[in-house]
Amino acid sequence: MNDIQSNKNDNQINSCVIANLRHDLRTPINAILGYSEMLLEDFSEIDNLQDKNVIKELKSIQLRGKEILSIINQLLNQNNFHNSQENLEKNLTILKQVTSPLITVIIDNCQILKVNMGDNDFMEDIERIYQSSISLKSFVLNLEKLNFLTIPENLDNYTDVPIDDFIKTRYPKSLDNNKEITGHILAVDDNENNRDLLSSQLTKEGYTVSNAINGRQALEMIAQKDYDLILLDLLMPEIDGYQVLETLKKDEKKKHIPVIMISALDEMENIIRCIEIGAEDYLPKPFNKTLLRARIGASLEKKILRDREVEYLKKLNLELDKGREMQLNFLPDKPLKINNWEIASFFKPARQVAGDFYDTFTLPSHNLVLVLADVCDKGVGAALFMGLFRSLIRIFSQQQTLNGNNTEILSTYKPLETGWISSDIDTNIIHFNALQSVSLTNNYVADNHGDLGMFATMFVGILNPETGLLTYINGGHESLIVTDSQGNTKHKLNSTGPAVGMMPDITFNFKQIFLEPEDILFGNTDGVTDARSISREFFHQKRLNAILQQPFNSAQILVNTIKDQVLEHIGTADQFDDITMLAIRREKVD
Amino acid sequence: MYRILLVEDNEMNRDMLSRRLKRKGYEITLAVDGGEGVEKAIAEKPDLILMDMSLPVLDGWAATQQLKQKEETKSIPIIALTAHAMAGDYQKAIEAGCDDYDTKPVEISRLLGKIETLLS
Repeated sequence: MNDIQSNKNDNQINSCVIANLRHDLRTPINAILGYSEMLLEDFSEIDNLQDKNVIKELKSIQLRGKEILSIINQLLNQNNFHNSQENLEKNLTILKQVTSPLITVIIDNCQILKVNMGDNDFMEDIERIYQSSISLKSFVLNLEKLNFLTIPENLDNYTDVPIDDFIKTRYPKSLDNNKEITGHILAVDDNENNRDLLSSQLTKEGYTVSNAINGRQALEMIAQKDYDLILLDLLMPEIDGYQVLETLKKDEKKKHIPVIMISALDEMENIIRCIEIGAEDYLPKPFNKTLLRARIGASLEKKILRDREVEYLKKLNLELDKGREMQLNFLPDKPLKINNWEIASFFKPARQVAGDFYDTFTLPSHNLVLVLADVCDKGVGAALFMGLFRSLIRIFSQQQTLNGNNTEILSTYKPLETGWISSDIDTNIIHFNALQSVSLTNNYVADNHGDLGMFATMFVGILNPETGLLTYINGGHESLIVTDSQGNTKHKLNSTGPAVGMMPDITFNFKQIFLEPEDILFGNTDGVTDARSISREFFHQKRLNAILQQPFNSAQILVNTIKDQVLEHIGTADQFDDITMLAIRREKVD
Repeated sequence: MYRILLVEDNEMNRDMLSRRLKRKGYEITLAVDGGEGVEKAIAEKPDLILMDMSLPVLDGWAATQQLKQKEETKSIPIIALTAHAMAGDYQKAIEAGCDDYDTKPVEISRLLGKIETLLS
């Protein structure tokens, strides 16, 4: 039963394949027979035709064309009951073997005709016969692709599909892998003989060739179509090869097309100029077939590799863009709104993904957590750790409660220098517990990922929005600054311990201050001060300090002012490091 | 002079056939797909239509059916042209409403005979 079913399918597929094959094979034969017949008619009206050979060649083309047609009709017969897969493959092999030499004869006939006829009205038609026989030949030589064929599920979808597309839809991968290097070449030469020589040689090699007869036409053609390679004669009237090359290499969209210069050997100096502005190689005249083949092959191979690389980079960039989207989602999507406080921030990664981050969130006790951090290194690795650091701080700061008597804890652990400056034991305990997140994160990263040597400089501050009490750890981060409404520096929140994640079991010291009405707490990552201009000058801490010393009555305006100046400083230079700023201002309550 | 509408998507076939028919004294209008074929048939009322069957947009079968259903075009004779040349194509062409059928590559004398028969 299965056998019968599969035989039936075999026949169905084969008759649909055969119908399409016949169509595709007969289309070029159509042109070969039609045009040669027309030419014969034309010539029969000319009484004293100089060259009887022309008639002879045309008749030979006719004869071979008809022979090929009858072979196709015989071998690809839909009514043949033996249309099994095996038989079809066998017939295709025979078809290829028998027709190839006939097509070659036609191609030779055409070449003789092209030489003998010179430039006249008939040339165009002979060119058409020639092009058709070339495409017929490449089609026949590719018939082996059909050996891949098996039965598609829904045959009805394939009744009118050209055979090439049909095979592509069935076997896109296998075909791509077997693809030889082919390509569309534009040959630019004002000398007709050279053009013909190049086209016939290259067409024989299996390339598609277009011709331009001068620089102007070349530029027009290049603008309209993407060629894989350009062969460019150096010396041409009006726009010469050098100018064409110069224009091409200035065009962002076209400059990747490889150009091989054609020149006589005594133009070597000019050729060097061309290679300096981006020509891939050169070909000396008169053409040497082997050299031509080798240089074109090499250039095209390079272009194919480059195209693949571009394609790959595109994909990679797409992935990074996705990463960036996700990472931006890790940052607060809008500034936290806290009564009597204004929070502002700025974040600009140097690459698509960053190692910098800031975070602002409230604890169940309504105390506020401010985080500003810079994971060492840049790019994807740093970005992954940024995600880890951020999550750990968020989770640990909300979960940690030290066991024991509160008063005892507070008398054992005290803020550096000042001791506990607030008498509010509950708030002090909440702040102290939340700050445990820093040492827990440090231990987690150092214990589990120590071998990667990843760490982050990190400021974590816990703020009581009612009183302005801020308890903080600065783990190796740039100093944060508290300024008053006049721009006077009130506190410099220097580092209280090492960066987070370097080694386990480090004690992180902490400090306490009060933020008073109209005070602004400002922090940044080193991307701000290390931002470089096009002349490689740093933005510098001094310049940042100068801005911070101005009076500001809004955190947002302060951040914007710094942002504008930093971005202006960088100008068109590459941004070297991620830039992050966080500012919080306590508003004046009347 | 008789006017023939040639509907053919292949540029070489179009060029070839139109030139040969012009040489035989016919006036030729060209269309490159089935849709344009139908439009031009209605607008220009040719004396005869040569219709390639595998055409983009609207294929020759469908274009023929449309033309044969329209009062103003149904009497225009249509000769179907196909390169598939498979068994059953002839029957299919007649069923679609074609008046005659020929295969590509076109043998010009045979096609001219069919054209003359339909025009007389």
